[in-house]
Amino acid sequence: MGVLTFSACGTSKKHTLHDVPPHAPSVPRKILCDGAGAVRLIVYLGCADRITGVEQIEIDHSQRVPYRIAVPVLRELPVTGESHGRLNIEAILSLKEKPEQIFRSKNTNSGIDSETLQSRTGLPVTDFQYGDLGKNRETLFDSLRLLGKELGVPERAEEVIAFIEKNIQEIHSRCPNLPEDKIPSVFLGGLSFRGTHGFASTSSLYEPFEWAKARNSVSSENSMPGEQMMVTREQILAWNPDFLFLDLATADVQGVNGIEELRTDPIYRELKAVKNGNVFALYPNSSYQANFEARLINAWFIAKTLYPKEFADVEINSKAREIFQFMTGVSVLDSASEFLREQAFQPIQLETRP
Amino acid sequence: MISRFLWILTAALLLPVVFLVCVSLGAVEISFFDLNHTAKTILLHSRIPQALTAILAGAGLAVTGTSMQAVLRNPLSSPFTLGVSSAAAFGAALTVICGGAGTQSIHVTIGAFISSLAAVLLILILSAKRSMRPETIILVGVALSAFYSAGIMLLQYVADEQQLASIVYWSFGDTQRGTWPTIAALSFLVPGIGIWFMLQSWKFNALSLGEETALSLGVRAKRTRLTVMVLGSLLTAGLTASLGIIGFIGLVVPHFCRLIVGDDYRFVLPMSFFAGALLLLISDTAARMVLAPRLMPVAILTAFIGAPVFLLMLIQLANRKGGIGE
Repeated sequence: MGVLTFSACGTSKKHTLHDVPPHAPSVPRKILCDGAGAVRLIVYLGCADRITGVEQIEIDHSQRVPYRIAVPVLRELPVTGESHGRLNIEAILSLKEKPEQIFRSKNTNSGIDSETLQSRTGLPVTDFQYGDLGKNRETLFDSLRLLGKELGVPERAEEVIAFIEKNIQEIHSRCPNLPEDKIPSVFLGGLSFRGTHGFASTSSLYEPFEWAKARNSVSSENSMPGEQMMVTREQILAWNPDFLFLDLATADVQGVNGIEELRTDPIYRELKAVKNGNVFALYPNSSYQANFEARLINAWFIAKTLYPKEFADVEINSKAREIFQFMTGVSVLDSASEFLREQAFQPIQLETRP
Repeated sequence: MISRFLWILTAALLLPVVFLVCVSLGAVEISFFDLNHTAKTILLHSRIPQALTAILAGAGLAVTGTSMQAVLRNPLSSPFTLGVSSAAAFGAALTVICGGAGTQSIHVTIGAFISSLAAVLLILILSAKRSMRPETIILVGVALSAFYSAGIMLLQYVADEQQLASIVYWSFGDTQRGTWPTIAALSFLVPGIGIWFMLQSWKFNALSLGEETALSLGVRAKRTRLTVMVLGSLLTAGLTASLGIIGFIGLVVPHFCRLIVGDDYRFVLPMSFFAGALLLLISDTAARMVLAPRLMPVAILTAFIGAPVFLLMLIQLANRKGGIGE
């Protein structure tokens, strides 16, 4: 029934139905998105007002996710599925505001497959890969271009791509080229991945460290790179990095979170960065896939922390507002939770409380 | 007789040696002759508690498994036969969802413990109606496990991403969760219950000859079965609630020990005690090292190694005397 048409990038595909009415608008004014990160890209493209239904996950835990803070109306939309492609066809069909097209981020192949979705709803479905800011940056850019084209905003897609590239280039070119033994070693802790975790949750592929020309302790001697991994506490002490960066998403851990661990765990207390007060808080890097805008801001903050002289003119909060504003349309930071406003981009106070 | 005794003695003597080797292994190189502050911190707050937890949990699960197999006269019995693990997982999941608690939270441990005790109680009540016959107990355990698994599925389905992660992470049995207070509690419980089981070994021997023979020897089968199940489940519930689910130790070790020291429970029980401790201690150290610097919960490794080893033993036994447990 469905005819597959492959987009230029090869990784994304659009399913087109023969029986789509001939008067179907070429640019959809009402859309649905599903899958990890799909809504985020739509928000970047300034098309959030076209979304007519969301997955349940977009309503949960909205306080720290930039695009959800920027577009609070998402929380009031009807729910059309759970998460990761587990859509409720009946809920889609009974939407008051009928969507004209469905956009799906297909990083995981869970949930209903797009062919079935298309034939059951009668709506054209566009699949795309989410990509990342590292090795799969071109995939992300291809998807932004594909979405931009289909939504009739190709210029905005190019602007977003150029903005991301410009920021990465600027950070990278400002950072000094130090001799191998002078490069500061760094560690990212508390990274969330399918839920929040404690300090030992990290990544060997964290792009901001690469842009800021820092040595990620995890990737330096790791034969198995990973977007997210748990490492042993002892191993962190063996690396004993110069700087620790903590993803503030860890604060959402119930029980002992990453900040608490750094305050109380005798092994972490031994870390030289803890002793020297070189522990800094990052804006949450991921929630339902990577927060690209937050990663750009974190990269500026990391670079400024490691090389204060080279970044003396950068005021991190105004940089954050600028990036949030451009990417999501709102300067997010002012509407983020009080905790994030006060703690993000600051050294973390680790003195054990009396 | 002497050779069986020697086996147990060897295992017992091996334990402290393996313990020392295991705590000396890890990401940071540690020399026992030159301990600096960092090394002491690592030993005291990471390796030693983790190794002790592994020893106690391994010994506890193995003796419980052996005793369960003895009183239920079923080679497939394990500490989890009564559905303790699914009940604990269900309790943990329910606490996570209702109380918003995380994996490391004490509430989850308490929730898991209460739920598993409730399951054991339920099984005992249901089995008592059929005069505590082993088949009844096992079948009730199977049914209850299925029921709790359905409950877990439901909870996982309604859980949000954060809760789902907590539930899944909780179920990976991990000796890292063994804190000093847990170890203190376990060092009373495990040897205490272990020794009590060993004192019952002649009853187990009698039971293995059949219920009627046991009765004629003055062994009250029903009562022995009841006490073993209550104590074993209590220990398993405590272990599972505080560490998560560590499978296969309680099933494989008893068979392995029977292979070495024969069917006499006077030897099988102490052998299981030490072999269980050794096996989990070695697995735990391997889990720390295999994917280093990544962390791997030991339960994943025990299941991975346990299943093939179990199959190998099955084949060996089939060649030797026609089947396991016969």
